[in-house]
Amino acid sequence: MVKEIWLLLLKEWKEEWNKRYAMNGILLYTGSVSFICYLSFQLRSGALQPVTWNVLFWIIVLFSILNAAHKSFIGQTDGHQLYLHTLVSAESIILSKMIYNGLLSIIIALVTFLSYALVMGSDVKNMSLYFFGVILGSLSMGSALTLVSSIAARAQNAHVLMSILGFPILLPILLLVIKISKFGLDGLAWEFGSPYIWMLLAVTMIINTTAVVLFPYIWKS
Amino acid sequence: MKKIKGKGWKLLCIILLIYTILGGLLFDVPRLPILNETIRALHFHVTMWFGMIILLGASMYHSVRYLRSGALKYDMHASALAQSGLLFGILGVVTGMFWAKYTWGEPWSSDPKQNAAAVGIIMYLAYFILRSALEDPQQKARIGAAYNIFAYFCLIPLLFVLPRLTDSLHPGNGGNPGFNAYDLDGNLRVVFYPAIIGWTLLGYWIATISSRIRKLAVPNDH
Repeated sequence: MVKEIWLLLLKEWKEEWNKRYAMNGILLYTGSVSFICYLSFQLRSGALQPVTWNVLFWIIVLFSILNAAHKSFIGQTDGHQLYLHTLVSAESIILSKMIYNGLLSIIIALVTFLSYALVMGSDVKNMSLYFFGVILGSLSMGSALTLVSSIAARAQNAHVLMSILGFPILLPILLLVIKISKFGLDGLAWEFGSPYIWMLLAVTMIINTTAVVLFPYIWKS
Repeated sequence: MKKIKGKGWKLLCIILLIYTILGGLLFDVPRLPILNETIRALHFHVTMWFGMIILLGASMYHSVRYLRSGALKYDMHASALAQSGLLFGILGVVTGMFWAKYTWGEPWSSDPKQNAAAVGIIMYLAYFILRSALEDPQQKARIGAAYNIFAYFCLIPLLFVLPRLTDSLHPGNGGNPGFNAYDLDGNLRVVFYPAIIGWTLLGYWIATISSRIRKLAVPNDH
């Protein structure tokens, strides 16, 4: 099982490397959105409060992760899926996709933070708490979207479905993570953030466990 | 859903609802500041939420049974129950907005419970859009069932997390007078508990009818 997951992760990485344009596209997307925000807010300098800064950052991250998680099942041919179906169990597929999406989302969130902080400036006072929030939040967003992507891939209009199915599910995660990173932004100590971090971990566990249990039924159809 | 035979429960539902409406409007209620007579909304608004959660839970149960057995009738029950649960959710929001207009001053005060309710409704509307986007009946049932279970498990943290992030304006939260242990006195309880059962049975009744309509719409072999 562990070996299967490892091999599937390698396969994902190789596919990603062969289709570098997809990953580059997402990185360019985050960069250009940050720049658009910068230019739009230039109209009134000093208008951006720390709260707005934080929320805007998370909305950019949310859309970038949604775009990235989107392609994890959509676009795979039936033959490809049938081939995988005969080789490995459904659980290893969903687990490997979740891990992969989670790691990819962390990279996207960090790159977004770099480009966003570069153009918009950053005023984060407790860097370690903020980054912990960014990493944990993007990890749980990416993994939570994996099952949604597999559901949306079965229907026509997968792009629209992905958003409408994904947003309500991501909302508790998004609100918790905005709360945690707000603490980091204000330079509060870790003990203020820790109850919310536990809550975020619990929500992620619930969503991901349900996803692993349900995925075999979606995979079969 | 065929487990409950006979018409007894329908009679029980009608009697309980007549009792709820008469008792809810006429019995004595405790005088609390701000709430005053609007405390009677307990029997018509709060019960909608209990009904919604019970009906959506039943819908999830039928989805699990569908995935275990593959019989389409369970999926029809699940979607009919989700539909009446959604109806109760919308009624809960509407009655809540009506009540909030007179106690909080505005129909929508960005209360965390209101927001959670709105997101929950969006989640189940997405369920019906997903179902209509799939053509093949077996695939529609299977993926719909999987999403239904997933949505229920996401709804629980949503209802559990959001109200804890900020204080709610709802009675009983954030130091507001409410219906907790000592406030919810005998006079209210005598109507409140039967009202939950009555409204839930009504929702179940609606679901059985719409499930039967669905069954008629598909060819005989199912």
